[in-house]
Amino acid sequence: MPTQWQIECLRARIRSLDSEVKRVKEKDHPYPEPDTIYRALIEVIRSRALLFEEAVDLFSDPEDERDLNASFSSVAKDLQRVAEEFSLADRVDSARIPFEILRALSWVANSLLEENCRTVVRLDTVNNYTISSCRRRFEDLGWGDHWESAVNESSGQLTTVLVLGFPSSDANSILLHALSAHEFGHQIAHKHSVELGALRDQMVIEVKREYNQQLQEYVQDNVVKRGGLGKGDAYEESRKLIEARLLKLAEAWIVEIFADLVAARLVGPAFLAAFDRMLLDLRRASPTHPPGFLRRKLVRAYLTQTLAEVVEDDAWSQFFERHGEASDSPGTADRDQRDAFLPLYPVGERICHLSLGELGELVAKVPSPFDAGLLSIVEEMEDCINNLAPPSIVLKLNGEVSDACKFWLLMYTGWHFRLSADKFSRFAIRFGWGQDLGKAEEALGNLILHSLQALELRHKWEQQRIS
Amino acid sequence: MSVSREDLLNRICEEKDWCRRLVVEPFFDEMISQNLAAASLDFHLGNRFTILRSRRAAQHDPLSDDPRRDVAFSELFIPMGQELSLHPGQIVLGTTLEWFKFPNDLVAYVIGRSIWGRRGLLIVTAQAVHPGSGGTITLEMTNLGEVSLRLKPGVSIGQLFFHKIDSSSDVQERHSTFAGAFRPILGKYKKTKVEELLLNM
Repeated sequence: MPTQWQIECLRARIRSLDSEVKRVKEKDHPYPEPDTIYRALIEVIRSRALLFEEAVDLFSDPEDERDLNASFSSVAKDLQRVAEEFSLADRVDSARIPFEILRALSWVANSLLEENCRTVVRLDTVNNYTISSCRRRFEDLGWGDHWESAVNESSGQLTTVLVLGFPSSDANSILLHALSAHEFGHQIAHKHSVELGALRDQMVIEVKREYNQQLQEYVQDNVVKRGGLGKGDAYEESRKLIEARLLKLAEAWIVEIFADLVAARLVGPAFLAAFDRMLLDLRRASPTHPPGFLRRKLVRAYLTQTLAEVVEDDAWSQFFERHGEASDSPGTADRDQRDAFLPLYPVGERICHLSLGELGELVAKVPSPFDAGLLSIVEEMEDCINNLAPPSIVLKLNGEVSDACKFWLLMYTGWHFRLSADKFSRFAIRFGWGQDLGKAEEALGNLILHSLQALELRHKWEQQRIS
Repeated sequence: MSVSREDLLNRICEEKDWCRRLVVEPFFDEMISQNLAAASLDFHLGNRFTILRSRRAAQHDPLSDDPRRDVAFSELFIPMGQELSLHPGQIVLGTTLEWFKFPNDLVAYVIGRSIWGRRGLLIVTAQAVHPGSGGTITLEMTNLGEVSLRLKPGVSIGQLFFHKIDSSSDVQERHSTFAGAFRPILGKYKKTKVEELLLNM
């Protein structure tokens, strides 16, 4: 039975969390989406407070100690999770966020995911891009009803809020935000979870045959002999542990490659250009992410197969020439030897290779901006950039869903221009940034950012005109 | 001579020569077609604002190398549908929603709309935009009235009048501090050689 003091502490915790969430909710946010997150959290806190007080009333008899204990720990655990989820919407209102991109991101998310969602951007302390669907997170925590009720209160049509994490240090590196295509890939992967799960199982069976000996050695190395456990049982326990690790790794790595291919489909080689800027250590692998060199290699193979015309272009050929030097496997020598998953990484790499074909077929359903007329349009857009005019003026819109693809085409063009060494240096010199290419890249980013916002506004205007 | 509406439309929609082409993005054709009587181009208020506040030092020196010591900035982003209150006497930097790229043969003048002027709103002090410039236009907005004004991004806040210049072939690319910018910033004062001489005498 929790002591009276513990009960008081829990009540105090409920009150303080409730008041902090309400206080932050009252802040002046540029967009209303964080309000929906806070409202849902307030609902959760309120329901847990009620649940707890009912349990206190019901089990005040010391005989029912076990039941109050269960309620106490369940509510305490939920409060801890509320605190964690609260941080999800932290730092979504920093003035450093390029807010111009938000509506456009929501627009492309709606078209890609075919649901009515809104995107908010959060500045992350980690040097990484992330994405979270609030609805999914709330559902996973068993709070789906609270999310629904918060959404209904704010706007009946909204299904989820996507929290897109940008690295704080790169908030205004607009070209890097091409990596958001990969993050949307993760959301699309959820829609294909059945196919991806089946692919994982199939791949695990295949590599178990191929790597039979290595896996058996790995199992043997992990056998822990404990008192009361026979040799065979200890081996079986180790085998199950390794199998679970392999499944976990295969699932995570397949999804990562899937998201990479989605990004390649949306922004073409520009994904790799942004990826190279972001992920400097290509050797690092983890149970959740395949090593960078492998990801680049597979994306390149996919691009060569599906977008040959684009890849053969001068800017990209030069990029891939330089890119090729770093594309070979560095082996496992430099990896963290304490990592328990280390022996599984070569197996995981094989799984990624084997999955590429089927993943490519799945990704083919994602709408792509690359079509036959691409190269001439890109040339026209680059001509605009070269004259300090937003490249979006070239893009004709019709108010249809397909307009959203042009968002990615702009991202692609920004990178293409940046990597066309002659064009970019001429641009920099022409406008007085010859000595400071960082400034020139900032201006290029501004042009792309403005274009993304203008594109979404013009799309809305076309929609209104049609209706 | 002011440039006519037809000429402006032609320069925006048809012209391909960058020396004569006028770029306005986003461009809604209604900006000209609904405003039949005018030889001007309306523009809208953007979402970015910079509010200047004084710090402990009472006087601001624009020539100082470190103007941040005496002026504090607050950057604001006001989305469409929301508003900013401009209080009497306050100065706020804003931007146009549109990004402009001006041709080499036109100079533009930024003029407020009388519907706002009659309510005390002054939107600009540096009125001329040089040929060849590119970017959003920074608006120096002051409320000269006695009551606060509600400003909503997206509202039609001013207009551009264009004048032709005689010889556009001499126009060189301007290396402006503000070129390619979209945030309203104070900018750093660049002294000319003459100023250097005069100020250091």
